[in-house]
Amino acid sequence: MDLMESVESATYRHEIRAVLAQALPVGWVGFGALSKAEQAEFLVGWRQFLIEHNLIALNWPAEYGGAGLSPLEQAVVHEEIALAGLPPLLSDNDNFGFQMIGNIILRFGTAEQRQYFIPRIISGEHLWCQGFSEPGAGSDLAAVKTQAVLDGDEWVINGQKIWTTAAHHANWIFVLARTDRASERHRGLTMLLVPMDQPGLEVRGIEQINGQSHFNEVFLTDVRTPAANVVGGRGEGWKVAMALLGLERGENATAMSLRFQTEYQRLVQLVRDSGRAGDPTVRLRLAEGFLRIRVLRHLAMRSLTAFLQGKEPGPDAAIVKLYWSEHWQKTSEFAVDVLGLAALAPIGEPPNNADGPDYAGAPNDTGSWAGLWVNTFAATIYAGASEIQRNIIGERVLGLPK
Amino acid sequence: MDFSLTEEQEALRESVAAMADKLSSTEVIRTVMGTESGFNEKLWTTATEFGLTALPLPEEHDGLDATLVEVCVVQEELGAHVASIPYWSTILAGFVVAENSTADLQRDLLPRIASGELKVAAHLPVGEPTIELVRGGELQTISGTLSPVIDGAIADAVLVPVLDAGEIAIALVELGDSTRRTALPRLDPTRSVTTLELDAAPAHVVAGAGALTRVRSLAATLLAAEQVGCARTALRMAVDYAQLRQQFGKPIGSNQGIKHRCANMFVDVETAWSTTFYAAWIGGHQPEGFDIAATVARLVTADASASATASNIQVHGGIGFTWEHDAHLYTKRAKASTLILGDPHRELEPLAGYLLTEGAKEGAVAWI
Repeated sequence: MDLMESVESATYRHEIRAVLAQALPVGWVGFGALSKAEQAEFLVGWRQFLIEHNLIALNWPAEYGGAGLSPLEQAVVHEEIALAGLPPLLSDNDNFGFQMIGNIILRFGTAEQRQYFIPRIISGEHLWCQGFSEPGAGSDLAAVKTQAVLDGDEWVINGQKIWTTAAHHANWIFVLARTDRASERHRGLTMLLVPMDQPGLEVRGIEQINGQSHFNEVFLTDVRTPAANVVGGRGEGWKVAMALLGLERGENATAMSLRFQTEYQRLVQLVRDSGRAGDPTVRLRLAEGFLRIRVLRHLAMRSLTAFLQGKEPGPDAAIVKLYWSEHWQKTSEFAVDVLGLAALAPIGEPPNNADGPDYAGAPNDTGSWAGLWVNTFAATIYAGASEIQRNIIGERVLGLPK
Repeated sequence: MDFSLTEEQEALRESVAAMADKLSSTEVIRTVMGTESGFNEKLWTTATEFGLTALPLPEEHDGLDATLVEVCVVQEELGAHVASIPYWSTILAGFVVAENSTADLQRDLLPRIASGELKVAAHLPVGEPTIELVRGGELQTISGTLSPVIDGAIADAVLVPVLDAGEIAIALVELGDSTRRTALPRLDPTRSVTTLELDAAPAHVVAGAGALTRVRSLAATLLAAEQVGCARTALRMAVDYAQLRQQFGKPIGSNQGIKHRCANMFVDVETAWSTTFYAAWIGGHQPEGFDIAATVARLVTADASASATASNIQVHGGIGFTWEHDAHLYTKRAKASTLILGDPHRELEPLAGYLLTEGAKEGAVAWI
């Protein structure tokens, strides 16, 4: 056990901080302080900046345009991006392109797939979304019904996907489909890479409780993709899907905890500004929030430790998702309670991103916090509901029977 | 950065676990519970021969130069076995003397602490000390009543904050024949609880006022480690029982009501371990931020261990609240260990005060 930052890490951090400083405009206080239009403009330049400085796709090999960084370097870059108030993602599709299917193609894909898809994810030409969940297959993913049938040298796909985040911005979708009609459950599933710009593919936005449409229904009617666009082999879809869902590793954990820490510091300021810093009930909840922030930080440090030791994330990683999502709900509820009557008429923009704290530098106003409060309800549902996380801990960590 | 136990620390944990499996088994605990001393002498002798009381002390005084982390590894295992030995308080005295006392006192006291000859209890009530130190030339003495004192029945000395000419100091008081010991009823039946009436008992001033915050942080961290151990055993017991016990033709652990309770116990154990060992590392390696880290560890672990050890009773159903079953031993030890330093929730208000002032500033220690 040694919680001190190594000299190697500190030296690299110093370098990266200097590099990132070049990307920050004069007067920078964080991405959240920009207007929506300014944010969109900034992101275009930001991608170019990352590509030029070899800081994009941190874990991917250099031969495909990745940064080829060591695990430690990856973690440092993520942390420094968070500390500088820079956005964690280039677009809503990044998580699916970089974190998910890109990694999966690198691991299971053919040489041709790697050469074709990977550079296009980096350049932003391909924007991906994830076709997993269906109306009848949510937490129970093995109940997938979407069918794919080989017709000559093309797959023909029919079915419906749902809760497809950012499908309305995407031009490619990875689809978990049943390629063996007679198969049941985990068998006979295949992971297909499918271009979205074709007539049989319809995307319909789903309006969420925050009034925005971050996710969608995707209808597939005789949608086609070349026979070669299979990742991991025909009938191997379940294995590939499980690998994909297990990709969340430790490199980003400490950066995420820093974002929650920044959000908590905003909350402290909110309490001070609200004039309620002397209220015993407010003080109690504020201190309790701090305890959770510290727990998150320590859990993240342990995830990072495992990552740096080269360990594959185990089922015990479920604790991190479980903990941050429940922390986040308590925190945002506390914030709107502190605002009280003022929260009834939120003034200011809601957060631009729905799946984490508002961006650094966002105005500390009712619009931001009321928006966060509404956003947090989804956090204990997406990416494995809290009930599922508790099942995973109970069954796969503790060994309790199904 | 490495937030995991080293191979040596793991090996230490396994050695202590093996020792306690044998010497602090259920049968042994039950026997010790029935005695007035509430003391597991065999375990103490073996542990001290093994060097556990010498762990964090300097080598020049027969110590092993280990840190608070290693001591907390030991404490966790002792908590996991509800061990009846005054380990945390003896170690606490060792830290205080090694970090603050004069060379003469160190030469006198540290080898005796390292060898286990000096069993030390600690009495650290909330608030300003009320006991006065009496200085009479070379000799310093203390008179007054300390109560309740855990392990007071068998302690050779007690560590206690006192007033020395109006200033706070920390004294190590030797308990000789002049001390009157009265046994008290026990919330936690596995250790003695005693009133100590001191009548001109000889006292060493081992530290000044400046040390008190760190002493309380050290105590909080050591006790948190014990509570982590209680919670960990409670989790193991609950999971074992949930796999074994059948109702309605299936193991009760297949029901989500039980399964999710066990998952929450796992969260309790892991969050408590993380905050405790973070504090243990900070306390042993850098001066900044230890009081905040120890406060976090104390608060998180107090609630987590209370919750996990209570859940263990619940999972066991009817047998869980019988005297015969061991579940209550862990619940009571965890709670007693927490309350030695008073109600932990009293720490929330000053913590909020800190967060709204110093802690809100750039570079505050809270964020280390």
